[in-house]
Order: sequence, then structure tokens, then C-alpha cells
Amino acid sequence: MMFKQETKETIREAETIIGPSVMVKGNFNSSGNIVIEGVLKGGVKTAGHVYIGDKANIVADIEAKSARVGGEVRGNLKIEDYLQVVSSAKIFGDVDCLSLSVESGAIINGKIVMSKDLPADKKEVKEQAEIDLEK
Amino acid sequence: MYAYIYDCFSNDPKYGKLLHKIEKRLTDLNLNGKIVRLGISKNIKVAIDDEIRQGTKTIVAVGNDNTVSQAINAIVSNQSDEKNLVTLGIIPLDEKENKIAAAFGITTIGDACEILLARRLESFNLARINQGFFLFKAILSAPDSILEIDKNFIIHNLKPMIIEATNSPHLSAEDEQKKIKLRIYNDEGESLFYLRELLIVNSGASIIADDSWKIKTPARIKIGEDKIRVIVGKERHLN
Repeated sequence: MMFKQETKETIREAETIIGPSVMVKGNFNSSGNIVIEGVLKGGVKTAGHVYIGDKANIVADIEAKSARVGGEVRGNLKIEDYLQVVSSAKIFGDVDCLSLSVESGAIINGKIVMSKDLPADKKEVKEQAEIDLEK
Repeated sequence: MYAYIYDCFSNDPKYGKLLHKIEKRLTDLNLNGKIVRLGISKNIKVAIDDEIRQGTKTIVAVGNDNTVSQAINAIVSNQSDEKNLVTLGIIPLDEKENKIAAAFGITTIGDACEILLARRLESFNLARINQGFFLFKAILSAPDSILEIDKNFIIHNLKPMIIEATNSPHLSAEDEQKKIKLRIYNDEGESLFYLRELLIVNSGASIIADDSWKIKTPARIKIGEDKIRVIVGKERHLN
């Protein structure tokens, strides 16, 4: 598999955990992994992984390296690499990612765009691959 | 010069023999100093302020966690810069209520005297809480709290939870990890954040700092540049 599937257990080293009995309001910037099991209203931006638990309720735009969505998200998801959407997920917003898996039962109401904004180094690899193919 | 600050509770006759033993041992080790007995007319802040004003460079807190916490607060509030640090020594009288001394590697009264003689010095970062300071933890156990983190976002605890802010006393000033660890937890789960500044708002509840003294909310907790220099034992176990 190209991208590692993160579970709640594999991101034990999470820098931030928003647990099931708290509500967070505001803009949340981080460089590490984030686990969200509770309520979040605002925005999330991290260079790491975001794990959204099955009972989480989020009204926020999310930007991350990779993400797993299990709960309800009302907002846009901009994921640099891999987005895993499990069966309990409800996404009401646009999705932008490089790689995507969606389990049966999941709901996505929004536009899905893939590989739109490739990072520069990945763009070069892709362009080189296209040149090689033309040859 | 050393100033030995005896907490009020040591005036109880049951500590008489023990204090005599300590004083004899300190004399044997040539560590004599001024003895200041706290009481109704003299609190620890006033006593330490007086000693530092008179030029005392080492304050030895003789008592329990509460004595040490109050001594830290009094010493740090007298320190103007890092070049003029006053040193804190500890003699734990009641070994059960001396978690701070134990963390500094001072577990018995006998060890405490030898540790003072060895004078192994280390400086530790303090976290600020309103006008006070704490070394390890500040804990609030109350429902309906609102927490403002780094002026960026707000946390509401939806159910009764324990709010625990932990300082990192042993990290260097350059360390990017020099942050307060905030845990909010109950039986249903926990939340975890690393931050530099936290405002806790709760109607009427008090926060307990370092298991020893109370501070009313609202309380602002933040990482600062404040340090305390302590005479520690070899077996200190601080992170």
C-alpha cells in the first residue's frame, strides 16, 4: 500500500488530543499529529496526521498531511497525501487530496479533487514520468 | 551564609528532638546559619524577604511541600535577574508530605544535611500562575470551566473533568519543547494540549498548585523565564 493507514493506536505520539467531553472553538495550528474525538468549531492546520474519531463533530476547514475521518465534518478538507474515509464518516464539504479511500456507508456531499495542487517535487516526478511515457 | 526557615508546624514539641538532631548534624558539618522560626507574627514571605535583603544567598526550607512551595515563591519574587539567583536548600521534616524534596533527590533528613554539604546546584524552570509560581503541577477539579489557550482557541469542558497543567522544570531555555502540558480528563477520556499560555476561568473554584497551595480563578498560567536554583541530591528525578 502506498500510504500507511493510521489508527488511533498508531498515533499515540499525538501532540494534541481533543477528547470526547470537550468542545474546542478557534483556530488550531500544529506541526504534529492530532486526534479529535470531541467537538471542534473553527479551523485545523497541521503538518502531521489528523485522526477524526467516529463520534467527533467538527465544523471547520481541515488542512493536514494525511487524515482519517470517522465522524461528522462540516467544512473543506485539504489533505496533502492520503485521506481515509471510514463507513461512519459524514463529510459536508469539498475534499482535496492526493489519494483517497472511501468505505461503504460513508457520506461525502461535496466536490472531490485529486492531485490538483501537487507539491513541487511531486509535480516534477509526475512531469518526468509523462515525458518518459511519451518517449 | 545560610538561613534556615523553620515552618510553623515545627514549633510542635514532637519535632523538638528531631530539630535538635538536625542542628547538631549541621554544626558537625560546619553548616551553621541563622535559624528563623515562623509563627503567627512572621510568615514565610516576610522572613525570606528580610533574609535576602540582608544578603543571605542560601535559604533552607525546613518543613514540608507547602514550606518549599512558599519558599520558592518568596525567593523568585526577590530575584531580579539570573546572575543574582538565591539558592534554595530543603530539609524535609515530614517525609510523607515532601514530594518536592523527594523529586530533588532529598528523601531523608540524614541525606538532606549531606546534600547541603555537597552543594550540588541545579536551576529549574518555573511556570507562572497569576502572581505566583509552581514547579510541577496546577490542578483544578470543577465543572463548567472555560480555558483560553495561547489566545488562539477556547476549550469548554462539557462534563466535570480534572484540568491538570504540568510544567517541564528541567528543559533548557532553548528547548522548543518548553511548553506546559495540559491534560483534561475524566473516566470517559482525556484531552491533551501543549501550550505556552493558558487562562482558566471558573466561577469560584480554586486551583491547587504543587499539591500545596491554592489560587483562585480566573488564573493565567504561562511559561516564563523564571528559575529557581536548588541544592539537589544525586538521585533527583525531574523531567
